[in-house]
Amino acid sequence: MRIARPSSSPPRTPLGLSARGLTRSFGERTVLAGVDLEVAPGTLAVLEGANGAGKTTLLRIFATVLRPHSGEARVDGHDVVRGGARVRERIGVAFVNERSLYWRLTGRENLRLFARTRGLSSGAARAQVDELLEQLGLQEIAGKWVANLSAGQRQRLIVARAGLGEPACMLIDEPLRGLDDEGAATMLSFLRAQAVRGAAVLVVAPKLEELQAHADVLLALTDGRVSPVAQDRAAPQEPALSMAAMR
Amino acid sequence: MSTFEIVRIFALKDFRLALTYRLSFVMGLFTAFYGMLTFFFVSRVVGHGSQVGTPDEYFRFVVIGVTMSNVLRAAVMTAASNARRDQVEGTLEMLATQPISPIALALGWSALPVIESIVEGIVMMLVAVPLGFSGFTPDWLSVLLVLAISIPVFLAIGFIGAAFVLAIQQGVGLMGMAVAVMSLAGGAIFPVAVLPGSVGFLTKISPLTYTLKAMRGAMLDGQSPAHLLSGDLGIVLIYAAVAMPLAAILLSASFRFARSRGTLARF
Repeated sequence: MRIARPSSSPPRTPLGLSARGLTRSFGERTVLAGVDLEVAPGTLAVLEGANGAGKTTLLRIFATVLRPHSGEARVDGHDVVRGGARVRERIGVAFVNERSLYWRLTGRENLRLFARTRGLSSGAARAQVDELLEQLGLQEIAGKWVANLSAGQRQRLIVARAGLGEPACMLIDEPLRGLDDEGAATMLSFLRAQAVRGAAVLVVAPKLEELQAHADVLLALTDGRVSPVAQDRAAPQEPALSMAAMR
Repeated sequence: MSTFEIVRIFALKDFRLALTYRLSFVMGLFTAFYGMLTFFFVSRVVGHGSQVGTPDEYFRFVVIGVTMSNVLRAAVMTAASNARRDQVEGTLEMLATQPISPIALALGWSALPVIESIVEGIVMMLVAVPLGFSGFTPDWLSVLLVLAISIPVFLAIGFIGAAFVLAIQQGVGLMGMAVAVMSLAGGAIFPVAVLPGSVGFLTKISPLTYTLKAMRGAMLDGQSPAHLLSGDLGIVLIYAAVAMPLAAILLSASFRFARSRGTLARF
Protein backbone atom coordinates (compact mmCIF):
# COMPACT_ATOMS: atom_id res chain seq x y z
CA MET A 1 0.00 0.00 0.00
CA ARG A 2 1.20 3.49 -0.80
CA ILE A 3 1.60 6.11 1.85
CA ALA A 4 -1.48 8.30 1.84
CA ARG A 5 -3.17 9.11 5.06
CA PRO A 6 -4.25 11.95 7.29
CA SER A 7 -1.06 13.82 7.85
CA SER A 8 0.69 14.54 11.12
CA SER A 9 4.21 14.90 9.73
CA PRO A 10 6.16 18.20 9.77
CA PRO A 11 5.24 20.87 7.20
CA ARG A 12 6.67 20.36 3.72
CA THR A 13 5.42 20.75 0.18
CA PRO A 14 4.63 17.25 -1.01
CA LEU A 15 3.50 16.34 -4.50
CA GLY A 16 -0.01 15.07 -4.98
CA LEU A 17 -2.77 16.45 -2.80
CA SER A 18 -2.19 17.77 0.68
CA ALA A 19 -4.22 19.68 3.21
CA ARG A 20 -3.28 20.96 6.60
CA GLY A 21 -5.66 22.43 9.17
CA LEU A 22 -8.21 23.15 6.45
CA THR A 23 -11.43 24.78 7.61
CA ARG A 24 -14.52 25.97 5.84
CA SER A 25 -17.87 27.08 7.18
CA PHE A 26 -21.16 28.04 5.60
CA GLY A 27 -22.82 30.56 7.84
CA GLU A 28 -22.84 29.15 11.35
CA ARG A 29 -22.24 25.63 10.15
CA THR A 30 -18.66 24.39 10.18
CA VAL A 31 -18.22 21.77 7.46
CA LEU A 32 -14.47 21.30 7.53
CA ALA A 33 -12.94 21.72 10.98
CA GLY A 34 -9.23 21.26 10.43
CA VAL A 35 -8.72 18.67 7.72
CA ASP A 36 -5.26 17.13 7.43
CA LEU A 37 -4.76 14.95 4.39
CA GLU A 38 -2.15 13.68 1.99
CA VAL A 39 -2.66 11.73 -1.17
CA ALA A 40 0.65 10.86 -2.76
CA PRO A 41 1.20 10.50 -6.50
CA GLY A 42 0.23 7.04 -7.74
CA THR A 43 -2.37 6.60 -5.03
CA LEU A 44 -6.08 5.95 -5.28
CA ALA A 45 -7.61 7.31 -2.10
CA VAL A 46 -11.27 6.92 -1.31
CA LEU A 47 -12.92 9.30 1.13
CA GLU A 48 -16.30 8.37 2.53
CA GLY A 49 -18.68 10.53 4.44
CA ALA A 50 -22.37 10.98 5.04
CA ASN A 51 -24.42 13.36 2.94
CA GLY A 52 -23.46 16.89 3.92
CA ALA A 53 -20.29 15.77 5.68
CA GLY A 54 -18.16 18.06 3.53
CA LYS A 55 -16.67 15.67 0.96
CA THR A 56 -17.62 17.76 -2.05
CA THR A 57 -16.60 20.93 -0.19
CA LEU A 58 -13.13 19.45 0.20
CA LEU A 59 -13.00 18.54 -3.50
CA ARG A 60 -14.16 22.00 -4.50
CA ILE A 61 -11.41 23.60 -2.43
CA PHE A 62 -8.80 21.46 -4.18
CA ALA A 63 -10.48 22.34 -7.51
CA THR A 64 -10.09 26.09 -6.70
CA VAL A 65 -13.80 26.86 -7.01
CA LEU A 66 -14.18 27.40 -3.26
CA ARG A 67 -11.74 28.98 -0.88
CA PRO A 68 -10.95 27.67 2.59
CA HIS A 69 -11.39 29.94 5.57
CA SER A 70 -8.11 28.82 7.14
CA GLY A 71 -5.43 26.23 6.76
CA GLU A 72 -3.89 25.33 3.46
CA ALA A 73 -4.50 22.97 0.59
CA ARG A 74 -1.87 22.19 -2.01
CA VAL A 75 -1.85 20.46 -5.35
CA ASP A 76 1.57 19.25 -6.40
CA GLY A 77 3.01 21.75 -3.97
CA HIS A 78 0.99 24.72 -5.25
CA ASP A 79 -1.31 26.52 -2.85
CA VAL A 80 -4.92 26.48 -4.07
CA VAL A 81 -5.46 30.13 -3.09
CA ARG A 82 -2.21 31.82 -4.06
CA GLY A 83 -1.34 29.52 -6.94
CA GLY A 84 -4.76 28.84 -8.41
CA ALA A 85 -3.63 29.06 -12.02
CA ARG A 86 -0.84 26.53 -11.42
CA VAL A 87 -3.24 24.26 -9.58
CA ARG A 88 -5.72 24.30 -12.45
CA GLU A 89 -2.99 23.12 -14.82
CA ARG A 90 -2.53 20.03 -12.64
CA ILE A 91 -6.02 18.86 -11.80
CA GLY A 92 -8.71 16.85 -13.48
CA VAL A 93 -12.12 17.33 -11.93
CA ALA A 94 -15.35 15.34 -12.08
CA PHE A 95 -18.18 16.77 -10.03
CA VAL A 96 -21.61 15.23 -9.78
CA ASN A 97 -23.23 17.52 -12.30
CA GLU A 98 -24.27 16.13 -15.65
CA ARG A 99 -25.17 19.68 -16.67
CA SER A 100 -21.47 20.49 -16.73
CA LEU A 101 -21.41 19.03 -20.24
CA TYR A 102 -22.67 20.80 -23.35
CA TRP A 103 -25.79 18.81 -24.11
CA ARG A 104 -26.11 19.85 -27.74
CA LEU A 105 -22.57 18.75 -28.53
CA THR A 106 -21.54 15.13 -28.90
CA GLY A 107 -19.55 13.33 -26.25
CA ARG A 108 -16.48 13.48 -28.46
CA GLU A 109 -16.94 17.21 -29.14
CA ASN A 110 -17.25 17.86 -25.41
CA LEU A 111 -14.04 16.02 -24.64
CA ARG A 112 -12.15 17.67 -27.50
CA LEU A 113 -13.24 21.11 -26.33
CA PHE A 114 -11.95 20.52 -22.82
CA ALA A 115 -8.82 18.81 -24.12
CA ARG A 116 -7.99 21.99 -26.02
CA THR A 117 -8.69 24.17 -22.98
CA ARG A 118 -6.12 22.02 -21.17
CA GLY A 119 -3.58 23.04 -23.76
CA LEU A 120 -3.45 19.90 -25.90
CA SER A 121 -2.78 20.41 -29.59
CA SER A 122 -5.54 19.44 -31.98
CA GLY A 123 -3.85 16.15 -32.88
CA ALA A 124 -2.98 15.27 -29.31
CA ALA A 125 -6.52 16.11 -28.20
CA ARG A 126 -7.99 13.84 -30.85
CA ALA A 127 -5.73 10.93 -29.87
CA GLN A 128 -6.26 11.33 -26.15
CA VAL A 129 -10.02 11.71 -26.45
CA ASP A 130 -10.22 8.49 -28.46
CA GLU A 131 -8.11 6.73 -25.85
CA LEU A 132 -10.26 7.94 -22.96
CA LEU A 133 -13.47 7.05 -24.78
CA GLU A 134 -12.14 3.55 -25.24
CA GLN A 135 -10.98 3.22 -21.64
CA LEU A 136 -14.43 4.12 -20.39
CA GLY A 137 -16.31 2.10 -22.98
CA LEU A 138 -17.82 5.13 -24.67
CA GLN A 139 -16.70 4.70 -28.30
CA GLU A 140 -20.14 3.58 -29.47
CA ILE A 141 -21.94 6.62 -28.15
CA ALA A 142 -19.20 9.22 -28.65
CA GLY A 143 -20.93 10.65 -31.72
CA LYS A 144 -24.26 11.19 -29.98
CA TRP A 145 -25.41 14.42 -28.42
CA VAL A 146 -24.93 14.37 -24.65
CA ALA A 147 -28.66 15.10 -24.41
CA ASN A 148 -29.31 11.64 -25.88
CA LEU A 149 -27.07 9.71 -23.47
CA SER A 150 -28.14 7.84 -20.36
CA ALA A 151 -27.21 9.14 -16.92
CA GLY A 152 -24.56 6.45 -16.58
CA GLN A 153 -23.01 7.30 -19.93
CA ARG A 154 -22.88 10.98 -18.98
CA GLN A 155 -21.26 10.04 -15.69
CA ARG A 156 -18.53 8.12 -17.51
CA LEU A 157 -18.06 11.02 -19.90
CA ILE A 158 -17.61 13.43 -16.98
CA VAL A 159 -14.95 11.20 -15.46
CA ALA A 160 -13.28 10.74 -18.86
CA ARG A 161 -13.05 14.53 -19.09
CA ALA A 162 -11.19 14.57 -15.77
CA GLY A 163 -8.48 12.42 -17.34
CA LEU A 164 -7.75 14.86 -20.18
CA GLY A 165 -4.19 16.09 -20.24
CA GLU A 166 -3.15 13.32 -17.85
CA PRO A 167 -3.42 15.59 -14.80
CA ALA A 168 -1.14 15.04 -11.83
CA CYS A 169 -4.13 15.01 -9.47
CA MET A 170 -7.69 13.88 -10.02
CA LEU A 171 -10.70 14.88 -7.95
CA ILE A 172 -13.63 12.57 -8.53
CA ASP A 173 -17.03 12.96 -6.89
CA GLU A 174 -19.13 9.80 -6.61
CA PRO A 175 -17.83 8.08 -9.75
CA LEU A 176 -20.15 5.08 -9.48
CA ARG A 177 -23.35 7.08 -9.28
CA GLY A 178 -25.86 5.85 -11.84
CA LEU A 179 -23.61 3.10 -13.19
CA ASP A 180 -24.59 -0.52 -13.74
CA ASP A 181 -22.22 -3.34 -12.78
CA GLU A 182 -20.39 -3.29 -16.08
CA GLY A 183 -20.10 0.48 -16.02
CA ALA A 184 -18.84 0.36 -12.43
CA ALA A 185 -16.19 -2.21 -13.34
CA THR A 186 -15.02 -0.05 -16.25
CA MET A 187 -14.92 3.00 -14.01
CA LEU A 188 -12.93 1.28 -11.29
CA SER A 189 -10.48 -0.01 -13.86
CA PHE A 190 -10.09 3.51 -15.24
CA LEU A 191 -9.48 5.03 -11.82
CA ARG A 192 -6.90 2.38 -11.03
CA ALA A 193 -5.16 3.04 -14.35
CA GLN A 194 -4.95 6.73 -13.48
CA ALA A 195 -3.22 5.92 -10.18
CA VAL A 196 -0.92 3.48 -11.94
CA ARG A 197 0.22 6.15 -14.38
CA GLY A 198 1.18 8.24 -11.35
CA ALA A 199 -1.78 10.47 -10.59
CA ALA A 200 -2.92 11.23 -7.07
CA VAL A 201 -6.58 10.26 -7.27
CA LEU A 202 -9.01 11.38 -4.58
CA VAL A 203 -12.43 9.81 -4.91
CA VAL A 204 -15.28 10.76 -2.61
CA ALA A 205 -18.38 8.68 -2.06
CA PRO A 206 -21.11 8.35 0.55
CA LYS A 207 -20.22 4.68 1.12
CA LEU A 208 -17.02 2.74 0.70
CA GLU A 209 -18.63 -0.58 -0.17
CA GLU A 210 -17.95 -0.89 -3.90
CA LEU A 211 -14.79 1.17 -3.82
CA GLN A 212 -12.90 -0.10 -0.83
CA ALA A 213 -11.49 -3.21 -2.48
CA HIS A 214 -9.85 -1.07 -5.13
CA ALA A 215 -8.48 1.74 -3.02
CA ASP A 216 -4.95 2.13 -1.79
CA VAL A 217 -6.18 4.18 1.11
CA LEU A 218 -9.54 4.49 2.80
CA LEU A 219 -10.46 7.68 4.60
CA ALA A 220 -13.54 8.93 6.36
CA LEU A 221 -14.75 12.47 6.82
CA THR A 222 -16.67 12.85 10.04
CA ASP A 223 -17.29 15.89 12.18
CA GLY A 224 -15.26 17.98 9.77
CA ARG A 225 -12.08 15.94 10.05
CA VAL A 226 -10.51 13.21 7.99
CA SER A 227 -9.42 9.99 9.63
CA PRO A 228 -8.11 6.68 8.27
CA VAL A 229 -10.35 3.68 7.89
CA ALA A 230 -9.00 0.17 8.30
CA GLN A 231 -8.96 -1.70 4.99
CA ASP A 232 -10.59 -4.71 6.64
CA ARG A 233 -13.32 -2.72 8.33
CA ALA A 234 -15.95 -4.52 6.29
CA ALA A 235 -15.85 -7.29 3.75
CA PRO A 236 -16.06 -6.02 0.18
CA GLN A 237 -19.28 -6.69 -1.64
CA GLU A 238 -18.61 -8.63 -4.82
CA PRO A 239 -15.85 -6.42 -6.14
CA ALA A 240 -16.39 -5.66 -9.76
CA LEU A 241 -12.75 -6.26 -10.51
CA SER A 242 -9.98 -7.84 -8.57
CA MET A 243 -6.97 -5.70 -7.77
CA ALA A 244 -4.82 -8.06 -9.80
CA ALA A 245 -6.99 -7.51 -12.84
CA MET A 246 -6.84 -3.78 -12.50
CA ARG A 247 -3.11 -3.42 -12.04
CA MET B 1 -2.18 28.06 -24.55
CA SER B 2 -2.53 31.55 -26.03
CA THR B 3 -5.57 33.72 -25.46
CA PHE B 4 -6.17 33.78 -29.20
CA GLU B 5 -6.28 29.99 -29.31
CA ILE B 6 -8.74 29.85 -26.40
CA VAL B 7 -10.95 32.41 -28.14
CA ARG B 8 -10.82 30.41 -31.36
CA ILE B 9 -11.76 27.20 -29.55
CA PHE B 10 -14.75 28.81 -27.84
CA ALA B 11 -15.88 30.49 -31.05
CA LEU B 12 -15.82 27.12 -32.80
CA LYS B 13 -17.73 25.56 -29.91
CA ASP B 14 -20.39 28.27 -30.11
CA PHE B 15 -20.50 27.85 -33.89
CA ARG B 16 -21.17 24.13 -33.48
CA LEU B 17 -23.88 24.90 -30.95
CA ALA B 18 -25.34 27.54 -33.29
CA LEU B 19 -25.50 24.98 -36.07
CA THR B 20 -27.90 22.98 -33.92
CA TYR B 21 -30.23 26.00 -34.01
CA ARG B 22 -30.29 26.59 -37.77
CA LEU B 23 -33.59 28.46 -37.74
CA SER B 24 -32.01 31.11 -35.56
CA PHE B 25 -29.40 31.83 -38.26
CA VAL B 26 -32.08 32.13 -40.94
CA MET B 27 -34.10 34.43 -38.71
CA GLY B 28 -31.04 36.62 -38.21
CA LEU B 29 -30.66 37.11 -41.95
CA PHE B 30 -34.37 37.81 -42.30
CA THR B 31 -34.17 40.41 -39.53
CA ALA B 32 -31.25 42.10 -41.30
CA PHE B 33 -33.18 42.28 -44.56
CA TYR B 34 -36.42 43.36 -42.88
CA GLY B 35 -34.63 46.00 -40.80
CA MET B 36 -33.04 47.64 -43.82
CA LEU B 37 -36.30 47.64 -45.72
CA THR B 38 -38.07 49.24 -42.77
CA PHE B 39 -35.50 52.02 -42.42
CA PHE B 40 -35.58 52.61 -46.17
CA PHE B 41 -39.31 53.40 -45.98
CA VAL B 42 -38.82 55.42 -42.79
CA SER B 43 -36.22 57.49 -44.62
CA ARG B 44 -38.80 58.33 -47.29
CA VAL B 45 -40.97 59.85 -44.57
CA VAL B 46 -38.56 61.57 -42.20
CA GLY B 47 -35.70 62.48 -44.46
CA HIS B 48 -36.73 66.03 -45.31
CA GLY B 49 -35.83 67.92 -42.13
CA SER B 50 -32.77 70.10 -41.81
CA GLN B 51 -31.16 67.76 -39.24
CA VAL B 52 -31.20 64.65 -41.36
CA GLY B 53 -30.83 65.98 -44.87
CA THR B 54 -32.40 64.26 -47.85
CA PRO B 55 -34.09 60.85 -47.62
CA ASP B 56 -30.97 59.21 -49.12
CA GLU B 57 -28.70 61.01 -46.67
CA TYR B 58 -30.85 59.86 -43.74
CA PHE B 59 -30.88 56.30 -45.06
CA ARG B 60 -27.08 56.25 -45.24
CA PHE B 61 -26.93 57.77 -41.76
CA VAL B 62 -29.24 55.16 -40.26
CA VAL B 63 -27.65 52.16 -42.02
CA ILE B 64 -24.35 52.96 -40.29
CA GLY B 65 -26.16 53.60 -37.01
CA VAL B 66 -28.09 50.34 -37.04
CA THR B 67 -25.20 48.14 -38.11
CA MET B 68 -22.86 49.61 -35.51
CA SER B 69 -25.57 49.34 -32.86
CA ASN B 70 -25.80 45.64 -33.64
CA VAL B 71 -22.06 45.27 -33.15
CA LEU B 72 -22.38 47.21 -29.89
CA ARG B 73 -25.25 44.98 -28.75
CA ALA B 74 -23.29 41.78 -29.52
CA ALA B 75 -20.14 42.98 -27.81
CA VAL B 76 -21.87 44.40 -24.74
CA MET B 77 -24.52 41.76 -24.20
CA THR B 78 -22.92 38.43 -24.95
CA ALA B 79 -20.21 38.19 -22.30
CA ALA B 80 -22.84 38.74 -19.61
CA SER B 81 -25.52 36.61 -21.24
CA ASN B 82 -23.15 33.75 -22.02
CA ALA B 83 -21.68 33.89 -18.53
CA ARG B 84 -25.24 33.63 -17.28
CA ARG B 85 -25.96 30.79 -19.72
CA ASP B 86 -22.96 28.81 -18.45
CA GLN B 87 -23.96 29.62 -14.88
CA VAL B 88 -27.52 28.37 -15.36
CA GLU B 89 -26.65 25.40 -17.57
CA GLY B 90 -23.96 24.26 -15.14
CA THR B 91 -20.83 24.54 -17.29
CA LEU B 92 -19.38 27.62 -15.61
CA GLU B 93 -17.92 25.87 -12.58
CA MET B 94 -16.21 23.31 -14.81
CA LEU B 95 -14.81 26.08 -17.01
CA ALA B 96 -13.47 27.70 -13.84
CA THR B 97 -11.41 24.58 -13.13
CA GLN B 98 -9.68 24.84 -16.50
CA PRO B 99 -6.31 26.55 -16.90
CA ILE B 100 -7.70 29.55 -18.75
CA SER B 101 -7.69 33.17 -17.68
CA PRO B 102 -10.90 35.10 -16.96
CA ILE B 103 -10.21 37.52 -19.80
CA ALA B 104 -9.67 34.66 -22.29
CA LEU B 105 -12.91 33.07 -21.14
CA ALA B 106 -14.80 36.36 -21.53
CA LEU B 107 -13.32 36.90 -24.99
CA GLY B 108 -14.37 33.36 -25.83
CA TRP B 109 -17.91 34.12 -24.71
CA SER B 110 -18.03 37.14 -27.01
CA ALA B 111 -16.07 36.10 -30.08
CA LEU B 112 -18.68 34.39 -32.21
CA PRO B 113 -21.53 36.84 -31.52
CA VAL B 114 -19.29 39.79 -32.42
CA ILE B 115 -18.12 38.09 -35.63
CA GLU B 116 -21.76 37.26 -36.41
CA SER B 117 -22.78 40.87 -35.85
CA ILE B 118 -20.09 42.10 -38.24
CA VAL B 119 -21.14 39.57 -40.90
CA GLU B 120 -24.75 40.56 -40.32
CA GLY B 121 -23.74 44.22 -40.71
CA ILE B 122 -22.09 43.47 -44.05
CA VAL B 123 -25.25 41.65 -45.18
CA MET B 124 -27.36 44.62 -44.06
CA MET B 125 -25.18 47.01 -46.01
CA LEU B 126 -25.31 44.82 -49.11
CA VAL B 127 -29.10 44.70 -48.82
CA ALA B 128 -29.08 48.49 -48.41
CA VAL B 129 -26.99 49.20 -51.53
CA PRO B 130 -29.80 48.82 -54.08
CA LEU B 131 -32.03 50.85 -51.74
CA GLY B 132 -29.72 53.88 -51.88
CA PHE B 133 -26.74 53.07 -49.64
CA SER B 134 -24.27 54.15 -52.30
CA GLY B 135 -22.66 57.22 -53.87
CA PHE B 136 -19.78 57.56 -51.39
CA THR B 137 -16.17 56.36 -51.21
CA PRO B 138 -15.24 54.78 -47.90
CA ASP B 139 -11.71 54.75 -46.54
CA TRP B 140 -11.56 51.02 -45.75
CA LEU B 141 -8.48 51.31 -43.57
CA SER B 142 -10.31 53.85 -41.44
CA VAL B 143 -13.34 51.56 -41.28
CA LEU B 144 -11.19 48.70 -39.99
CA LEU B 145 -9.48 51.02 -37.53
CA VAL B 146 -12.81 52.22 -36.14
CA LEU B 147 -13.89 48.60 -35.63
CA ALA B 148 -10.53 47.62 -34.12
CA ILE B 149 -10.64 50.43 -31.57
CA SER B 150 -14.35 50.56 -30.76
CA ILE B 151 -15.05 46.84 -30.36
CA PRO B 152 -12.65 46.51 -27.39
CA VAL B 153 -14.50 49.37 -25.69
CA PHE B 154 -17.84 47.64 -26.15
CA LEU B 155 -16.35 44.30 -25.08
CA ALA B 156 -14.97 45.91 -21.95
CA ILE B 157 -18.43 47.18 -21.04
CA GLY B 158 -19.72 43.65 -21.63
CA PHE B 159 -17.00 42.16 -19.43
CA ILE B 160 -18.04 44.47 -16.62
CA GLY B 161 -21.56 43.09 -17.06
CA ALA B 162 -20.17 39.55 -16.94
CA ALA B 163 -18.35 40.46 -13.73
CA PHE B 164 -21.69 41.40 -12.18
CA VAL B 165 -23.19 38.10 -13.33
CA LEU B 166 -20.33 36.14 -11.78
CA ALA B 167 -20.47 38.07 -8.53
CA ILE B 168 -24.19 38.49 -7.95
CA GLN B 169 -25.86 36.37 -10.65
CA GLN B 170 -27.37 39.49 -12.19
CA GLY B 171 -26.33 42.01 -14.79
CA VAL B 172 -27.72 40.90 -18.13
CA GLY B 173 -30.67 43.26 -17.82
CA LEU B 174 -28.32 46.07 -16.88
CA MET B 175 -26.34 45.50 -20.06
CA GLY B 176 -29.55 45.53 -22.11
CA MET B 177 -30.40 48.88 -20.60
CA ALA B 178 -26.90 50.19 -21.33
CA VAL B 179 -27.21 49.16 -24.98
CA ALA B 180 -30.61 50.85 -25.31
CA VAL B 181 -29.39 54.08 -23.71
CA MET B 182 -26.16 54.19 -25.70
CA SER B 183 -27.99 53.52 -28.97
CA LEU B 184 -30.50 56.28 -28.33
CA ALA B 185 -28.16 58.86 -26.86
CA GLY B 186 -25.32 57.98 -29.23
CA GLY B 187 -27.29 58.88 -32.32
CA ALA B 188 -27.77 55.48 -33.91
CA ILE B 189 -31.13 56.25 -35.45
CA PHE B 190 -31.59 60.00 -34.90
CA PRO B 191 -28.98 62.74 -35.08
CA VAL B 192 -28.04 63.71 -31.53
CA ALA B 193 -29.03 67.30 -32.36
CA VAL B 194 -32.73 66.37 -32.37
CA LEU B 195 -32.55 64.72 -28.93
CA PRO B 196 -33.68 66.77 -25.91
CA GLY B 197 -31.03 68.65 -23.98
CA SER B 198 -31.52 66.41 -20.93
CA VAL B 199 -30.02 63.54 -22.94
CA GLY B 200 -26.95 65.63 -23.72
CA PHE B 201 -24.91 64.28 -20.81
CA LEU B 202 -25.55 60.69 -21.90
CA THR B 203 -24.62 61.62 -25.46
CA LYS B 204 -21.33 63.06 -24.25
CA ILE B 205 -20.32 60.03 -22.16
CA SER B 206 -21.51 57.32 -24.55
CA PRO B 207 -18.60 55.80 -26.51
CA LEU B 208 -21.07 54.92 -29.25
CA THR B 209 -21.51 58.65 -29.98
CA TYR B 210 -17.88 58.99 -31.02
CA THR B 211 -17.76 55.56 -32.65
CA LEU B 212 -20.71 56.41 -34.88
CA LYS B 213 -19.24 59.79 -35.81
CA ALA B 214 -15.96 58.11 -36.68
CA MET B 215 -17.59 55.29 -38.63
CA ARG B 216 -19.78 57.69 -40.59
CA GLY B 217 -16.71 59.77 -41.28
CA ALA B 218 -14.80 56.72 -42.51
CA MET B 219 -17.64 55.21 -44.53
CA LEU B 220 -19.52 58.16 -45.90
CA ASP B 221 -16.87 60.88 -46.06
CA GLY B 222 -13.78 58.72 -46.63
CA GLN B 223 -11.90 60.35 -43.76
CA SER B 224 -8.35 59.15 -43.19
CA PRO B 225 -7.15 57.31 -40.06
CA ALA B 226 -5.02 60.30 -39.06
CA HIS B 227 -8.00 62.63 -39.35
CA LEU B 228 -10.20 60.32 -37.29
CA LEU B 229 -7.59 59.67 -34.62
CA SER B 230 -7.18 63.38 -34.07
CA GLY B 231 -10.90 63.64 -33.40
CA ASP B 232 -13.68 61.24 -32.48
CA LEU B 233 -11.68 58.04 -32.83
CA GLY B 234 -9.03 59.46 -30.53
CA ILE B 235 -11.71 59.77 -27.85
CA VAL B 236 -12.74 56.14 -28.45
CA LEU B 237 -9.08 55.17 -28.08
CA ILE B 238 -8.97 56.83 -24.67
CA TYR B 239 -12.10 54.91 -23.69
CA ALA B 240 -10.38 51.67 -24.80
CA ALA B 241 -7.23 52.46 -22.83
CA VAL B 242 -9.27 52.96 -19.67
CA ALA B 243 -12.07 50.43 -20.13
CA MET B 244 -10.10 47.30 -21.02
CA PRO B 245 -7.80 47.26 -17.97
CA LEU B 246 -10.73 48.20 -15.74
CA ALA B 247 -12.82 45.36 -17.17
CA ALA B 248 -9.96 42.87 -16.77
CA ILE B 249 -9.52 43.90 -13.13
CA LEU B 250 -13.24 43.67 -12.37
CA LEU B 251 -13.59 40.34 -14.15
CA SER B 252 -10.69 38.81 -12.23
CA ALA B 253 -12.02 40.25 -8.99
CA SER B 254 -15.47 38.80 -9.65
CA PHE B 255 -13.97 35.35 -10.24
CA ARG B 256 -12.01 35.66 -7.00
CA PHE B 257 -15.17 36.77 -5.19
CA ALA B 258 -17.20 33.87 -6.61
CA ARG B 259 -14.44 31.39 -5.78
CA SER B 260 -14.19 32.69 -2.22
CA ARG B 261 -17.92 32.22 -1.72
CA GLY B 262 -18.24 29.08 -3.84
CA THR B 263 -21.01 30.62 -5.93
CA LEU B 264 -19.78 29.82 -9.43
CA ALA B 265 -22.40 27.11 -9.71
CA ARG B 266 -25.15 29.20 -8.09
CA PHE B 267 -27.81 30.84 -10.23
